[in-house]
Amino acid sequence: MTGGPDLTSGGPRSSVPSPGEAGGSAGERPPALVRHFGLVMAGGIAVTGVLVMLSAAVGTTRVSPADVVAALVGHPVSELHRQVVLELRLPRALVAVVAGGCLGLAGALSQAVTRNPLASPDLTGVAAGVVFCTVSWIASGPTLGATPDQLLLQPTVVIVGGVGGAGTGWVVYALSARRRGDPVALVLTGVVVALLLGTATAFVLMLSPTSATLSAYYWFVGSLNARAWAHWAVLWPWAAITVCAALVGSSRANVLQLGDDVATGLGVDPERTRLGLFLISAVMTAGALVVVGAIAFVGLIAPHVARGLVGHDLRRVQPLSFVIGAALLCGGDLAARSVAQRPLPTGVVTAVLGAGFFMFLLLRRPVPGPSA
Amino acid sequence: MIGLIAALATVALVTLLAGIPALSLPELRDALAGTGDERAALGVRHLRLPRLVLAVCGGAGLGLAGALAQDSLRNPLAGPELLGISSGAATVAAAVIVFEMPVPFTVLPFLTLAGGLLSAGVVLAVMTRLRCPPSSPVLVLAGAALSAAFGAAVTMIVTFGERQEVGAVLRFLTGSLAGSGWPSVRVALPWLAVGIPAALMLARPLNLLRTGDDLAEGAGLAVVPARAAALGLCAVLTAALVAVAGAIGFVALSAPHIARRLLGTTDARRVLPMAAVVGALLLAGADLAARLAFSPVEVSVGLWTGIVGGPVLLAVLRAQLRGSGE
Repeated sequence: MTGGPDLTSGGPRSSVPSPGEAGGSAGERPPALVRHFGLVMAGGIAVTGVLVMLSAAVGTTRVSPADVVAALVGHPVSELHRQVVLELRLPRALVAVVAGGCLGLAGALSQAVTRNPLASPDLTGVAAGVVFCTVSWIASGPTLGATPDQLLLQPTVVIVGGVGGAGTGWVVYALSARRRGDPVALVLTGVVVALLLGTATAFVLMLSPTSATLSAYYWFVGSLNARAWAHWAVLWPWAAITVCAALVGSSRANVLQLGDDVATGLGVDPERTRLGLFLISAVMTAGALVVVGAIAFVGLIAPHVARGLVGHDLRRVQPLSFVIGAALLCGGDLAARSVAQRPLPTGVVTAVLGAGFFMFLLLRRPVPGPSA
Repeated sequence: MIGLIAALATVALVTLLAGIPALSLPELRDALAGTGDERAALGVRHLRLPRLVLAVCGGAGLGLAGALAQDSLRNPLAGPELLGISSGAATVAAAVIVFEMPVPFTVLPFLTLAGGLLSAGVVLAVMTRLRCPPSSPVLVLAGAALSAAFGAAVTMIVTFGERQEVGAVLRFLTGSLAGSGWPSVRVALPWLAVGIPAALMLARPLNLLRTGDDLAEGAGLAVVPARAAALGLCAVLTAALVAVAGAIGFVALSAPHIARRLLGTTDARRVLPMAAVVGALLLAGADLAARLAFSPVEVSVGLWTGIVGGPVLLAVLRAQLRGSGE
């Protein structure tokens, strides 16, 4: 049927645990939604599917839902509608779904690895590292003999971004190592490092030639405008590899959540597992950000919502975070396209949502003292 | 202190001498007196001198703003940059620039002040709501959330503006003193002239706040108004410079720490003036570097303040993470 929902469900479905084998907290009977993981998941996929359909239908040229379906399955429709749906809106929606899903899943991973509910890539400096390295890389495009836009479509940019993200994440993690039990310490370090990198990014933008600055800036603000099949080609291989790796590792990540001692007792090397999962999450973040630009906070919101719905078992939280992230970014893009006369960058919508959500999390937390 | 003022004087002198055209001491004397080479006189009196005045006064203001925020919140990472005060002020100014609002230049500081006060108010509100100690890092995180929201607003503003203005807005967001003449000085100076002495007079309440809310209360200080006044003044000092030179980062965060380290004390009566001098030196020195390092191309002053202030900030962060909180 439609490509979007199938893609989101393809990987996750294979790892859906049967209701009986829910790991982690045994004992009390979980709330209704936790028991009905399949239903929640199906609901999420359905919502994402609807959003993809809407994305394909809504715009300057309105296409009726029937025509969208017809175009997707190859039935004859008017050439204009076919092109609009298949060449413009479908790749854009798919990119939104997969990139949003990756960001959501990466958030769930890094929150699990650090055992820190605030550790989304935006707040641990990973995203800032990806952005800084990507901007530096593409802004130096003219010296490398390629335009920034060309560089953004080459797979190397994901590696550059991934190295930047992983490096920054490692620095932040190491800096805050002394206060590992304190979720705020890690995030505080991440915020400070992100401030420094943000300044550095602005300078790279200013010092590079004007044409490169403009392209890099328009990437930097985070937008799904004009995302096409070429972007999809960059995104999907990385997404497929990292998402599969994350889902395979989800039971190990579960064990990690119980603490290092328990993990060692269960035969899982905590440091190596943490490193592996962390790298996966950094590359996943890089893959998504390189394609859609610096879109913030999806990785913070999605896992929180997912945990609220299905509890703490990562074998459920991870797929659901992917679906929620996908729905968030797709919906955010839809909103960004339709609220104003001029299409807003999608990053604006997610940043406003995310900043509010972050504030909400801070206000809701029990008062952490400075040495909590 | 004397050494620093001497250093500041040296930087000031070099600022006036160096550049294109470079002047010798007698030439500079002539230029300031209005005699001698016409072009040199013009350059010194209308370009270099106002810029220097702004860097020194603005830097002093930023140094004080940082000290006010850090002492009143007992948080070494507090500063207009991390509390969202700078970005609030800068967002308002960016909107004015991009939409070419018909706002008289002299009114701009009022608007940026509103942006800065908004952030300060939210931070105080979060503190009251959570009933957390002012030193809680959560306040810095709340500031970060505010900054993110303001960043989104700036992006939106830039999107609605013309493509060519991207560069101008970026320069503004990192701060630059390029092209600041006497008009800029006239706009910012009244605010700084009121704000700087006012900040210096807050030394006693700040010392009390540093000892803790309970002790301060016991010593007869109205804690809540005192803290609000300190943060408000921090916003005033920040907003004045933002209105004319953009959000220059890292001066406010690092100057008080350098001052405390140099003095070996946390006594606000001594730290405040020292922070002002360090801030002035930082900003004037950074501006000199900005002008000369890649001459004739100018690099925004924020890069150089970041090079100095960034490591200081990281060191403070490490110390805070290592320590038992405060």
